[in-house]
Formats: sequence, C-alpha cells, structure tokens
Amino acid sequence: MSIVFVTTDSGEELMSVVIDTPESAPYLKSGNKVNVLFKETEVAVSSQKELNISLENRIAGIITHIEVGVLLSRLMLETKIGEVIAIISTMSVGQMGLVEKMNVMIMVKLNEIILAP
Amino acid sequence: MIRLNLKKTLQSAGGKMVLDLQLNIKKGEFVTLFGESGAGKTSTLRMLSGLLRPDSGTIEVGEATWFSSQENIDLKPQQRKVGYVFQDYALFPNMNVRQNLEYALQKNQDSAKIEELLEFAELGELQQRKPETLSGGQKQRVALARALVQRPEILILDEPLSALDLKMRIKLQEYLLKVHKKYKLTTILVSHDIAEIVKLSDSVFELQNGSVIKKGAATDFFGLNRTSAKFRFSGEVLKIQREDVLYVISVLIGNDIIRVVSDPKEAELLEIGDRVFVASKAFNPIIQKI
Repeated sequence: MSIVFVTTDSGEELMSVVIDTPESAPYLKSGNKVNVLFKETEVAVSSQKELNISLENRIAGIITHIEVGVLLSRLMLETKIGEVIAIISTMSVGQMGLVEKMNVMIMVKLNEIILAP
Repeated sequence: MIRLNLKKTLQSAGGKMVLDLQLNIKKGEFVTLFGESGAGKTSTLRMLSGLLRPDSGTIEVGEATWFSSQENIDLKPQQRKVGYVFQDYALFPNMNVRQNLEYALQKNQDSAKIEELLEFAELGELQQRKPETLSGGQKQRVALARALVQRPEILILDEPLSALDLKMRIKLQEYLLKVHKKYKLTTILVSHDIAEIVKLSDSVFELQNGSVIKKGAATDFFGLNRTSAKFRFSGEVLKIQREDVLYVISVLIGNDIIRVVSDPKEAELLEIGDRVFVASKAFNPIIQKI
C-alpha cells in the first residue's frame, strides 16, 4: 500500500492511498504525470475554512451553480484545479445555507482518489 | 511466425473496400482480431485458410510459403494446417458426432486421433448422436474437435461462442484455452466480447476498413491497466434513468445487473448497448460471507 502525493498543475496538493506500491506499479514514481479522478458523490462541502476532520484533500472553491433536486443537489464549483461537481443532500444545502457565489471548501477522503497514469 | 501481407478488393455492404493488411503473429500466441463488422476480419481468416484468394501478397507460415502472388504459390485449403471453427458450427446434420470427426480424417491418417479427441472433448457418450440432438455448447465442442483432427498448427475461431449463453461461454472459454495449450496451437480468434478477449488472448489487433489500426497486449489494449482502481469490470449499458439531479445507469456484468450513479455530464455520453468499464477503488466495496 502507498500514500501518493500529487501536485496539480495549479500547485494544489492532493493525497491518495492505493493498494499498489512503486514495485507493483511502475507509474508510481516521483515526477510521473497522473490524472486524478474522484466521484462527484464523494465530494464533501464545508462553509468553514478550518475544520478538525479527517478529510485529507481540501480545496477552496466558489459555488457557481446549484441545481436543487428533491433529495440531492448538484453544486458546480470553480476551484484552482478546475470545475468540480459535488453531489450533496438538498437537506445540507438548506441547513448550511449554500447559495451561488459563496466561498466554500471542498473535501475528499484520500481513499476516494483514483490515480490514472 | 505467421506473416500476412495481403491485398484484396472486397465487395462489402457499404460498397467496395480495399483490404491492405500486414499482420505478424508469433507462433504459439493466442491473438484476437477485433473491429466492426465489415472491417475485414473474416476475409483475412478466409485468405489465411485458403478459402479466399488474395489479389496479391504473401502468406508465410514459419519457413513455408502458403501463398505468393509473385511466385505463383497457392496451397489448397487441405494443404494448409489450419483448423477453422465457425459461429454456426457447420456440422454435417446427417452424420453423427463420430462421423463428423471421421469425415475430417485424411487418407491413411490413423483413426486413433478420433478416439483421443472424443475423449478430450468429453464427447465419448455423445458419439452416436446427431448434431440436432445436441446443445449449442456440445455442438461447438464437436466443431472444435473436428477442426483438430488434421493436427492443425493454426486454429481459427470466428466468433465461436457468440451464439451461446453466458454460462456455456465461460465454460467453453476455459476449454479453448486448454485446447490452445495442449495442442501447442497458434490461435486466432474473432470476438467482440472484451471480457472474452482479455481472458483468452495474448495480443489484440484492431482492424478498420481492411487495415490494422491498433495492436497491443490484451490488457493494455482496452486500457484495463490505466487506473489504480482495482474493482473493475466491463459490461453493457442496459438502462439509463434520470433520478433527481443524477442518472442511474444499469449495467449487465456477467449474469448480474449492477447499478451505478452517474453525473449528467458522463451519462450524456452513454447510450444503451455501449460497452463500459465500471471501476471503483479496492477500498470501497464491502465484503460479506454468503
């Protein structure tokens, strides 16, 4: 198992835990380019900047659009790493008072990050 | 090594097509020809087996030349050591299983080979049966055994399993691998089933409009090794359904239908019938004893 640190083109640092090791997967080498994938439904959103919580990957973003569904809502966010979509509950959108143009943090647990060489 | 260097003008459904093909296959390899219908896969195999005459080019198998338009060499199908298995079995309906095999014996060939093949294909008990009384899987085992009677060096499988149900396919896939190894064959498969291709073949050649456009090792070819996601399967899209702000995609994987949530951006790129990969990290699935 390995924990891999990835620096994005915009300079943000992301972390991923993978089953592979540099021996089992030769692409795990310092300096190698990888694509980083994560599912929209695994993105957590926080309105607080500093949170004591075990979500390792955190990126600041601005909500550009909210599509409110009955149960779930789809947030489009502008971040340094590009456009990110977060699917969260409509309940949370209401409780947190999330609206367009708001500054938030998006967070993804390190085991949810897929690396694609 | 099998070296094909062939040119042939073909009349296809879409009009004229010029097949212009260079293909090298290593001895002992299991390779797949992959590509759309009408790409030239079957024509290539028919030329290799001597059923279709190329306009020009060469076919070399090891040290031997099977076809050369310049040297005017063109071995007859029965002189080429090729076994051919078709999707529709092509068994003789008026002959029983044993007779179907015996028909393939050449003059003076020892009939002990028939016994060996009947036993290996587990057809002993069925040897007196006529093809119409056999299941699809049994018929294909007979067709395969018949293709092996003449001790071919090359085995050609033209969509051999596509008429069978999944359970039988999986069983016969294992059988094909066994045959390939036991008889030290060079096997050339035509298949559209990615799971089957990856399971069986060492390398894949993709044909388009009569030419090879891509080749590679089977697992690399379909991008299977390109993510760190360990929980991954290939399947077919059965249903795309809007639910709230998302889509739910039903995918047939083996015998199971699984459902995956997808963002509209990705769902819009999918159509029913598409082949897809479903992948997740090894960390996500739960596992429970049944």
